[in-house]
Amino acid sequence: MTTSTLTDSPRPAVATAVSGLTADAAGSAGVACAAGAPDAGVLSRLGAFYRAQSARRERRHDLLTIGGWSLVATSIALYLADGGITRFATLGGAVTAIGIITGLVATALMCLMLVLTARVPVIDRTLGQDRATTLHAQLGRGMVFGLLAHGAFLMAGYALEGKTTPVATLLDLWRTSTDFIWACVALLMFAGVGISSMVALRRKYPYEVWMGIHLTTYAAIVASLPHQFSMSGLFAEGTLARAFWIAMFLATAGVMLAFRVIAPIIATFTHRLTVSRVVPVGPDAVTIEMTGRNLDALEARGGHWLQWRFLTPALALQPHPFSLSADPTDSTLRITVRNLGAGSARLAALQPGTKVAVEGPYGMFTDASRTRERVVLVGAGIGIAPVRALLESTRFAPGDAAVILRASTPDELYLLDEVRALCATKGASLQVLVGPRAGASWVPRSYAGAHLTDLVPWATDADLYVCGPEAWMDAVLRNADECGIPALQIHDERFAW
Amino acid sequence: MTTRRNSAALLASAGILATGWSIGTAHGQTLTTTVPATSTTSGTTAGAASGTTSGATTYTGTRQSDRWGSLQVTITVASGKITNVTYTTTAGDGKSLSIEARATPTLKSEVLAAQSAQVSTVSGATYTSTKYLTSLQSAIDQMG
Repeated sequence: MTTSTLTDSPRPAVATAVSGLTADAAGSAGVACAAGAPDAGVLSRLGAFYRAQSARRERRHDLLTIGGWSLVATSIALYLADGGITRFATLGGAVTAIGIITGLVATALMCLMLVLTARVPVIDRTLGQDRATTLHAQLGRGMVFGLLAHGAFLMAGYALEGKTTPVATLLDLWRTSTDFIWACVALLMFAGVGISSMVALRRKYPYEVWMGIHLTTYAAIVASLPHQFSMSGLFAEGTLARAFWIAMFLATAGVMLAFRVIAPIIATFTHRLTVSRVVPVGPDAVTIEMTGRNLDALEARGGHWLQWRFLTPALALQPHPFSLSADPTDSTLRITVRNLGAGSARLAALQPGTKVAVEGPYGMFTDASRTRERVVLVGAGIGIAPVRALLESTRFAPGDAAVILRASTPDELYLLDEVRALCATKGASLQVLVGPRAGASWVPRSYAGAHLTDLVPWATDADLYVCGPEAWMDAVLRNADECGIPALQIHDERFAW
Repeated sequence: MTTRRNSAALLASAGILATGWSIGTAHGQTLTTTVPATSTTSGTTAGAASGTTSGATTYTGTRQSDRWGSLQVTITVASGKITNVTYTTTAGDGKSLSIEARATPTLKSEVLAAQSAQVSTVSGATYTSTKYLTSLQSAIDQMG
């Protein structure tokens, strides 16, 4: 049932090369290059541009990493500068000191975590929102364990110093200090949020529940504040440490407010996005076209995703992350969406005229993460949508781009005609792989054993963009690794669409 | 790339920690005088009777410490009667200081009335009361 659509290319020459895949793998590159005949000047100019862009991104990454580590180090240094080191003279003192340090580090990590999810443009342009979110989760685990250690070590340390038991110490503090009670409440809330956001659990909860649990974090932070300033001599009034700690909290809150609240509100009111058309484009999928004002100011490019909030009673409370499916113009934006969740299903019923609130654009699945002059775009299912937008927006000399689309059935090759037209106009080769996957491989059974470099021989010297279902994407990335494509050249965007 | 990045971050962190450490140890001397608090577990600093002025003698009690700082009481005795009680504290945080500021006037007036350390502690200020009255008792013991 699949062989008829196995290869689908605007160029017969490339199609031939693909059919004779295993025997004549190198041929497809030769044909593609000969057909494109890239101008050497353009090639080297683009190559130099993308290499410089990549170097700038690496430098930003360096600075962000150093900044993050420095904040954590500073939190410990504050304690050392306050003479904390003298505490290690006794066992009780040492245990107490460890308790204080774990608390300081956990709090610094908490601020870093919040900044990572605050959608700060420089972080998004450097790490990408999905990497930032992964890092957020990792730091989150560290923070929760840090806070638990903070509580346990301090109770033990105080008990050793006061020659009593940890439980007695806890009860004592509970009776004498309201701030301590709030701190305990905060610790329980943080632990709850930590447990509930572990991936396994996260899948089971609807988005709203998960969001609600996360919002508890803000309450936990507020509850934990008083004891930091009242119970620790470190942040006593008039000290530099106190000023630093307050500045850290204010900066974190400011960044969150600016980029998660104020910027989206301004964007929504400035651009006044309105749904203009909803067009079915295949099984369960629709393309939603929107018009707005002055959209160039959004600086959205093909491959970006945004948080969309369609302002209908049923959908307004649910922001959806969707990728653009076309390069935006100054007055139009377009997304292509497959119905997966209950919320997505309602999108098909959207009426023209519906107002839309946006946050973004986000992500590094764009031209901005290119490092080489050549590019390979691989998309599967609805993941073809961002690939199509990126293909439209990114630059390459004819013959220097290869597009590979995959689906289980021909119906699920969303936007295929548009991709085919773009490939023909811009001089990219197109290979279409249809059929059930061969075991754990990312290619269909008829291609079993084929590697990425069999399909695109120059893939090791190109940027590789991958978007599709999670498990399939993992298989592509594994194969890219096997083919020896450097990690720096691999770009993938992960979110449930 | 990653190695370079991480070693740079590690180096920066080490520098910051070293700076903190050196500030901490540079202030070490002053800190031990102002905050002997926590490293000495419970009050061991010997109390001492000091100068006699116009018939009044002052006795300083032992320094009593807990995790919020240490507290030392000095009493003034004239004709065998406690006429005044003062104290010094090393509590560094606002909360402890405010608790002490609230509790000590009550303790002082009770002590002056009872002429002994056998007075009730102030509720909500158990730690402060204990330090205060223990140090006071050691000062009274010196009266002989």
